[in-house]
Amino acid sequence: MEKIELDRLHKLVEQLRRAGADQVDAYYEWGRNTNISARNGEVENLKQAVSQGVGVRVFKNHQLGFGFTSDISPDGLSRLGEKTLALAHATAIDPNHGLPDKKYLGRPTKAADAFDPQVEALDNATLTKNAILMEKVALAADPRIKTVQEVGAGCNVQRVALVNSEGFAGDYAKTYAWLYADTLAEADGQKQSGSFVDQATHWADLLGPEAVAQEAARRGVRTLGARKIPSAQMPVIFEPPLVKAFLRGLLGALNGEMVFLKSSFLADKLGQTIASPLFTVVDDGGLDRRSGSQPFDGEGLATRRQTLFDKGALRMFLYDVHTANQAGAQPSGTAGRGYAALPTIGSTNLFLEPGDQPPAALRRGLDRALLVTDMMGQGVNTVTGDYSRGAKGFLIEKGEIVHPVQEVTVAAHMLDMLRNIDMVANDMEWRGSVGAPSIRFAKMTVAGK
Amino acid sequence: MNDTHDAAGGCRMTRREFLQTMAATSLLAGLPTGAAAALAADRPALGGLGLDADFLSKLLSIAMSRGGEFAEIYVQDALLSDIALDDGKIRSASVGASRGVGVRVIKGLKVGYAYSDDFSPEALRRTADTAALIAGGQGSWTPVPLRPEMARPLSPKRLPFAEAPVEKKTAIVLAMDAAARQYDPRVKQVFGRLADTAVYRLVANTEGLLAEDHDALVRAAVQLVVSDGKDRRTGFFGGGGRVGTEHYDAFSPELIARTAAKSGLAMLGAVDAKAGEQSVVLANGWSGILLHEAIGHGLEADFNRKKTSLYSGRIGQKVASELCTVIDDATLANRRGSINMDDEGAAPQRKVLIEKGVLRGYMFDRLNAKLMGQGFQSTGSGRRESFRHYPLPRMSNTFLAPGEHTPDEIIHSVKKGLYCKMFGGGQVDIANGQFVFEVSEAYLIEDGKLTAPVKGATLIGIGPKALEQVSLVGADAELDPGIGTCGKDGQWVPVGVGLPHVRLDNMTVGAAKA
Repeated sequence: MEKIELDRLHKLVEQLRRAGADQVDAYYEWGRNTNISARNGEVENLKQAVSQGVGVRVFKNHQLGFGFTSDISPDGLSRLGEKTLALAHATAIDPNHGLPDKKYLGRPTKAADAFDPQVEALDNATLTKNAILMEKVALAADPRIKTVQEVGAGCNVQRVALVNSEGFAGDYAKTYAWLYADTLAEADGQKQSGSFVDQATHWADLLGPEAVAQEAARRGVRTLGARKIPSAQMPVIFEPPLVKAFLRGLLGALNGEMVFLKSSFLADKLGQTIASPLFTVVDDGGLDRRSGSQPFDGEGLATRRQTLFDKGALRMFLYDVHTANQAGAQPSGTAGRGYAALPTIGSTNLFLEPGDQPPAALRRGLDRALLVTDMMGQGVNTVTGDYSRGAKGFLIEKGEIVHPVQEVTVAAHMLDMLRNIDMVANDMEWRGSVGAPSIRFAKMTVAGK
Repeated sequence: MNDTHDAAGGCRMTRREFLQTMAATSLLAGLPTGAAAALAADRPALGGLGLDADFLSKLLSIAMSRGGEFAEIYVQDALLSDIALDDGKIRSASVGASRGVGVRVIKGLKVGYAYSDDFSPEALRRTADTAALIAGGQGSWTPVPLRPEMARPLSPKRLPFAEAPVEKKTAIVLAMDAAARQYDPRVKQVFGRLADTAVYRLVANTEGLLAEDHDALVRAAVQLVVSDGKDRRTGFFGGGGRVGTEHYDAFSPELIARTAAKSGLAMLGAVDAKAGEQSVVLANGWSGILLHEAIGHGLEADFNRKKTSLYSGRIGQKVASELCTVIDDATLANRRGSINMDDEGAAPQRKVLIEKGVLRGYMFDRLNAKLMGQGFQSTGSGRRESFRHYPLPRMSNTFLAPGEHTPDEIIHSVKKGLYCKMFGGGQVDIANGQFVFEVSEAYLIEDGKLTAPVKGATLIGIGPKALEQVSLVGADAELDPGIGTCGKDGQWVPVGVGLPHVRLDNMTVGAAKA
């Protein structure tokens, strides 16, 4: 971290304190982002930029003003401060507003490793080489891959600093890099896309261009010939990316503000065993080489490991400082933040503990079931718990994959889904800040013909 | 920021496109707002940013210095204001400036893009040089005179939100809250939001274009939770457009709140939708999301140039029922999807995409029109989310032309089916045409009459197959009230959709009850 940014944040906080603010925090974010895509053996798009900005929260008389700017010159920050202070009066007086209690501020003794000097030093030639290779490998992977829609490689370096008027000052740096391929398979007049994105904080953790391209091709080809099946209730298996999406959807219901406002289907379920004993969900901001890791959250709270669901029992909700004060709970230290927005209740690294069965064991013995490989639509209502999404995948009969399926939806109430998880596989997958294995729901409604 | 890593990986994930209502605003969090009067006063004009025509010319020269064939500079200076309410209180008020410069250089199929939020001459020169790298050689540009031209405003505003005091905005949000709670004691929670943006845009390119535009966009919306002690449901409504504060005189906070409350209350005690194929009647307005997903995205030029769309190479062919005439019109006054100019400086257009079921044309940005050849021209459809993005071909206001039936005739024609009144978000997979969208308010149709409210319904289909199933089209064409935001390749832009009442047969309804 350039010392100059921390100095400017200190000055801004000090300026606002002198101008009459009760409490202030200032968040600085710098990012460098590069993405290179290839087509016909050449670079197709090269996008590169550096950007930075500062967001400031001002608390005065239990009111909250927020402003942000990309102009971080001393003059720009000074103007931002004045305008933000003037804005605070527009919001309601709410004694729950404020910075975190000092006892929560800080950072863990050992910060997780989420920064890779190799990613920071990646040059355009390396990214280009990877992108071009992925296109070649994807096209050669199968004769039914007629088009590569897009292949690319990229990386991001992020630096963050936070200073507040309660004496907190901290900074950290993170990296991540990615490879992606998006293919189009064609046969008998049907087109199916197959996409795969690999992402990691460290370059060495990526699967590599050949594997990414082959996986994207496989994902396109495998659903060729997909068709509708008749509507029925049946066991449904989700592959890991869909379990990850399910966990992200569940976050909306675990959000402490929605719970406090009785706008979550989990609002009155704290402490109860509502899910299958196979369901243990953890949030941990301190995992090495995971992209959700960071020493402190968007409000300066030290991150830690917490169990949200323990063998099916709902143990806690996620709170930022405001909603924790409101609900009389502890803030969870999982607030997300970017310079252009107020902190939001979020997660760090969120994951479902894997089981011990190989994924193929999940379909064994099933008379008729659906294996879901892709989903679409938002279809998740965390207020009511209704869940209904469009799906692609495979019909399973007598434990074997029979044919690909599309144009169906899978639906159930999320409480039933949580309760009906009857198998969890060992194929843990991350590629980002959420991790999960394949799981099986004993019963969902599949709508088709 | 945490969970966006998986969805985007900093870039993009699938060829899937979203159109959603409330959820989209999370991606704009912290952007739109306004204690704006103070900020508006020092909003820099062209000169204030230090970007006169001579300097833009110099930047274009740098951008062309490595052999590019075309270069373009995009300047954005947006003032964003956002007021949020929950639990009866104004929860947050935020204001911010989003300003920056994007430079695009094209050579053949190759595109280089770089941007900067730092307006210093050195930073901008460096940005132009980064974009230039794509061409990978040597070259030069003989400057042509840049002809400044201000885009013609489609949507004059009496009092733009950016010039209104913040109290005007909080009053609208508080009024929505009060009206919803007064409407019925079963309204238990209200989330209100008013977000507005005032934006200045400039596009300069190596063909001598220097286009400028001022416009503003606003949206007020309410999401509420209703409960009768046994059942809990949600209601949503909102709207706006490229309008001033006067828009909310007629489209009042009370109207917005009551509509959301009615929609939520009607669903209390709703029965589960029955899964499977059935006849469906879509109400007019926001149901235009069907067109947006089922056919609109598939007619965007990039998918057709790359031949990844189901509609590639099918101009002149029948792709929908002959009752279907689909139009994309960016020139309608005040509408959310309307634009005074596109983000490449081209004038907005009204495009007939499908005429009586026959495919007539695609929506083009400048790059895809040129690359497809065959005399194609930009249709003014090049749009981008911000200076951080290069333009893509996008929709504006997409709607179905009216037919001749009354809504009652259409409902009466169905013996057994589903009437879909309000909708959530939708999504389409371009390659196989599979689309899905959620129905938030629906009723059973039994013997031609609306009966029990139905919850948890999702519609799913394959675009062209669904449009062949349109069997009746109403005369009551209507655009949505101004709530949609469409996502594509990680870029979100405001759009409009519209539909009269229509009947579709053999639609697959997804639901929790078999």
